[in-house]
Amino acid sequence: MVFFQKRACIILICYNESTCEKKFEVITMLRFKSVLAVGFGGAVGALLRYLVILTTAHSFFPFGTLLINIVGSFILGLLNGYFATKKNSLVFLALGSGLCGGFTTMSTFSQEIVNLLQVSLIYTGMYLGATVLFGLIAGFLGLSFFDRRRGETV
Amino acid sequence: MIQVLSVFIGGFLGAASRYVLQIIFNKLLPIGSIPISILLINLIGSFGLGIIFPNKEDWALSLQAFLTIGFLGAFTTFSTFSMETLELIRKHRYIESLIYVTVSVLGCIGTFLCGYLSMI
Repeated sequence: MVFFQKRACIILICYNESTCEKKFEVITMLRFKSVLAVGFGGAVGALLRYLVILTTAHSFFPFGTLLINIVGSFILGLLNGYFATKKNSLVFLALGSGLCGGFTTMSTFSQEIVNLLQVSLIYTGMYLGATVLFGLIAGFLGLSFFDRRRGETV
Repeated sequence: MIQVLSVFIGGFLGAASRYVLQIIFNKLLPIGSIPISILLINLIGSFGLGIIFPNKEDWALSLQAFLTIGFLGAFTTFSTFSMETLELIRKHRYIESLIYVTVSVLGCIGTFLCGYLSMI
């Protein structure tokens, strides 16, 4: 990675063994501002998730993470609909990739599935099914909210 | 208080590294109908949590919160996964969406278990 003013440049170094040649290839340029926006959004999202998990920790069924993933999918759907034409704006990055991405989680979900597997197969199935199904439905409702406002069909 | 701060910093680093990694993956991996970048990120994050999980009792609470809730929690994401799935459904790619959902969910549980079992 090479840093320029306000930008980071990610470079791939290819080494050709037969000719002993090193080739540099610029993969992508990143705006520091975008990375910072996603980072701060993610930090706030993780903090909110921490608060939700703290308040729901005394139940053996992981309602907290279920609620987090459903609500996060709904909000990202709303944001995707609202920012449909300006996906590169810093506000969208901070709220979408950052806040919603940092709020919702897949790793804790997998961990809770494995925990539940040791308790009951039925609860595991319920948790898995509810997360995926309601998460998708919530995302769809969020997406279609602004679509319908514009008079488009999904 | 220190736990709140470590979740905050962990979330910052997790979300920022997901964003950077997502851009790198998007450039490097072949573009197909199934969105591989987020899938890979979720698989890596779940594997990481699996590795950490059996040993985490030995660590300070703030380090646990930093790694599990902060960094790996923000690194992996469920909301983008549902958006990508809905995008596939909207394009009438039903089989791909089914594959994506199955591989994501079962894959993440599987990689978590791999990490978990390798550290016990």
